[in-house]
Amino acid sequence: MIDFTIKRRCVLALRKALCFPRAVLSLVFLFACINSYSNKLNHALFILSKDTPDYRRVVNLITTDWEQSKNYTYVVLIQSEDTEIDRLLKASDIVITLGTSAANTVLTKKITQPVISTLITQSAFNSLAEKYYGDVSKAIALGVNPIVLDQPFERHLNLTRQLLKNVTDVGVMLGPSAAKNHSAYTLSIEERNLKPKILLIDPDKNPIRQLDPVVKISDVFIPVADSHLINVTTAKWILQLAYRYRIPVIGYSANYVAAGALASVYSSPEDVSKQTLDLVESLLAEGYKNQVHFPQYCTVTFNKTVAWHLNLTIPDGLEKNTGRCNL
Amino acid sequence: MKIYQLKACFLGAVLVACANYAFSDDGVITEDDLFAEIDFVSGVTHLKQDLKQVPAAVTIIDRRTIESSTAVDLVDLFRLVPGFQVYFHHANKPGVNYHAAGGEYSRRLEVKIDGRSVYEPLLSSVEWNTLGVDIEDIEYIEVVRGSNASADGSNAFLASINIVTRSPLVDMGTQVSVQYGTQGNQQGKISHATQFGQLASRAVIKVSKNDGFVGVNDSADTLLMRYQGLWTPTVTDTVNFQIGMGDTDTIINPTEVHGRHWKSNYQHLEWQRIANNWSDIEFGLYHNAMDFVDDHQSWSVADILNEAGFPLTGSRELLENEPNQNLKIVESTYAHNADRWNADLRANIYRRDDLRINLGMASRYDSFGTELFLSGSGKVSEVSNRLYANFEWTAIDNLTLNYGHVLEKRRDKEATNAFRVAANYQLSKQHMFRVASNRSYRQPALIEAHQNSIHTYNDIVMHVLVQADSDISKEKLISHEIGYLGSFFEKSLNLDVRLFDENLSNLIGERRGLYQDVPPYYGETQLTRNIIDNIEDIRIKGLEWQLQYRPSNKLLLNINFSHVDVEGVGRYGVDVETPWPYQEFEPRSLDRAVPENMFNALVGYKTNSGIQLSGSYHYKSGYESKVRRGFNVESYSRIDLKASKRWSLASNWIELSFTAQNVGSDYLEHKTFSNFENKFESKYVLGLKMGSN
Repeated sequence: MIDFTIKRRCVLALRKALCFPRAVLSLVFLFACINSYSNKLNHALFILSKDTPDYRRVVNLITTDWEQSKNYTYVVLIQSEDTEIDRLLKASDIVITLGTSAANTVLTKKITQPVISTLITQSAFNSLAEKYYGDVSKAIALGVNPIVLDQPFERHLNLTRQLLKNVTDVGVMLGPSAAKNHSAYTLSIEERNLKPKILLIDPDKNPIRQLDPVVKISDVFIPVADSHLINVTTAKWILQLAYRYRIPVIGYSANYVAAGALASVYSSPEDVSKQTLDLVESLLAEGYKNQVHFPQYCTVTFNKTVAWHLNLTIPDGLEKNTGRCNL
Repeated sequence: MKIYQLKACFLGAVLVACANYAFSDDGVITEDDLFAEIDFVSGVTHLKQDLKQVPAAVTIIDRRTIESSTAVDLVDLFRLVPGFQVYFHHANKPGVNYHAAGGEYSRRLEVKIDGRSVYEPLLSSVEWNTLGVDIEDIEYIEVVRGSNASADGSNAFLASINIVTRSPLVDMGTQVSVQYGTQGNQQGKISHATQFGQLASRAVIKVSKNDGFVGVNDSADTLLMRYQGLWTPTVTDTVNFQIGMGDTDTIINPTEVHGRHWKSNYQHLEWQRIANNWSDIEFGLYHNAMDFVDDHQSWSVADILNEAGFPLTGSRELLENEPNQNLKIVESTYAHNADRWNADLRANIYRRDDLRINLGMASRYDSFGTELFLSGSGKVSEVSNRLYANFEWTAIDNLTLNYGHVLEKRRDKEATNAFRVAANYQLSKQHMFRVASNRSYRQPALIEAHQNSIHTYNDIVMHVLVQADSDISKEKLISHEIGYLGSFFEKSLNLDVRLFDENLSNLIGERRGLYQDVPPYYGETQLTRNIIDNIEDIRIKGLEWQLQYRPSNKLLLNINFSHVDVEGVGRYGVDVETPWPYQEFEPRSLDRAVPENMFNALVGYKTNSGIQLSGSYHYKSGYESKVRRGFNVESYSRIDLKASKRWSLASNWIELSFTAQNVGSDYLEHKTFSNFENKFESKYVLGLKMGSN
């Protein structure tokens, strides 16, 4: 059955290979299929939410590792394009979803095989778990293992501490989604003997008027990721006000650094793939206990031009191009 | 498809985008929210693109580069852009051009300040001394090297410059600066930024004066004021508005001491709404008004009769019989004014991960009134409409395809279709190759199509200065390029290479033509006149590169080089120097109309004690500055140096700077006028700035 399914997938991939522009991608999948067809070890099914570089990068890094170890066979699906998902799910020993949409597709089916949900935020996972399983713990108990993208807020604070010695007041912006965890952020800052200056941003009010008083009295400003609209619409003003008051911004993505934050700590595709590889090994071993996995790895990047403006020197060794996170 | 149908389609798309305005109310954050690009839009296509995705070569002059540079005036910064010529007709009439010959007027470049075009319809040029922005006001400059008509319209024929000024948010409090230097350089400026209620504001007043080049009558006095307001009623809405005015007294032609008094004002409003996760909409409206008064040497009837050297065989009797011998035939001043209204509506749509779309429509009204240029007093106006679209399609991970198209229609002229197509192939994260082609048109500007500058007496034409040819038509550009972008040493070193082939035809300029139907009386020795016409064809092939190296926050290195190989001819009509029967010029070669090689290197270094040291070297090979008259400019090189240091005390700071431009021997600048040496001597400027936060 597995072989038949894989053959069908290979035929589909070949058909796709004839159709530009996904030809190159499909050829990669075809190669993967043919490669996996010759092995009958643990069989994994990857389901991608979208056919975009970040998702593919994670899959490629994992499968490249598997090519060497030869312990796994696999099939890769794009969630939105496949109609044979049920058969492929049944044929798999382990299912790895990448992104929220893919997790949604799999969780709704409540399959019995272990599931790893990667490239997903804690917020999205909790929402899906509640929707399909009633609560998070039930989903976990039934073999769903999320590796969440959200770098713990403490890492932002620890990075701040290592980067800026004389920081006292920490400005934090929370959007509507993160606002409910207000007290946790406050506590986390206070535990480090820092003073929290928390702003709960209201999307219907003037963002500059809300941000200005908080940025003004902060020694560093940390925006917490929220919905796309909040993130994108506030970033410009945060960065400009931070420039005005000459305070650094610690962001949550590479894009934030590119736009003008001093530094960001985040989960890169490399980080996610490493932790997924680790988890697959653990998960198929005896004695593994299902759980939510927070990022074990992280990437830290800096904007040197911003450092120049702030007259800051970035300490050697702080820049981390993926690796086990010691922040 | 007719324009109104296109407009309807566009409006439909915009309305769909707007109708989707909604916040996600489920409170769930997904990976898309984390990976979202922070909004910094490229001026190349108006889409969110980084340099590896854009369909053209782009140079960004950012704040760090500006502060590290040795620039004193805005135009000095364009030496940092490969292929850009910076030159001076005289000290207060600078020119900037890209690849084409550097004429008296900076044509074929779109220059925008925060999206507002400052390309003036009255003179069909950018008057750099009247722009009203100072180096200190600039956050960054984005220069698109190559035609950008598909995003910016036909003025962006050869290149496009967008000067982005500092947001009122990034400065706070009051800043005062003064400059004092050789050649009579004096400047004072005060700016204040504040948050006033809902509004972030910044106001600037600047006065400056200089005596121009030594021994040349080319001084200037300038006053400018500008105000910027920023209002963000909600997180998704941004309203920017600016008003400003300028007043400049300068000289057109130092040899004839023609003064020119400029006055300008503008109003600019821009509204942006981020409609939802995948679209945004932008509306801009601006008005530019400019008027200037030119001083002339006045001629009365008596002056003409008594002036030696004018035979006046046909008109002497006519003039002698004029009862009022003090009647002015050539006035001492002529006033001109220009107005531009422009509205631009565009939407960006990012619905699919692999496809980004920019759709826009713009309408522009240009008019100018004059006391001289239109057979005496008169007014002309023109409406131009354009529809444009830019598409970016990520075909596969490392291949991005761009297509841009603009349909432009001016009243009484046929519509033009310009386009750009480009493929960017990313070999790896460090290396990107680009192939692009362009077809663009530039319609004659109002003055080029309508100028008829004459002096009359009792409705009899006495003297013709310049006339537009009645059959003048649009200029055309076909270009192809191969580009490379490489980044090395963790992006601290960036290399940009552009190999290009640009074919320009029907370029508009001035030729000499015999009178046929307009016999002049005054100055009957003047049997020819200047005619604005399509007179030049030119093909420019070449290579240019720029290298930016920033290994640390102390050192900055910025080097660029350009080499062009030019083939072209100019048809300049009748040789006025040759006696009757007035020989036609042989078509003149334009092979030396553009400097063959240019090189610029800037090094900036900040010492441990906080002193910023900068040095730049600039080389330009020799060229013919006015081919028709055979003016030759020798090659030259210059070295500029600068040192500055800022001291901070509590919330106050003070900065002292010293700039020395052309520290070596003098060199001769661009030659536009005869009879004086346009000599750039060493220039020293001491600057003091103070501010409080």
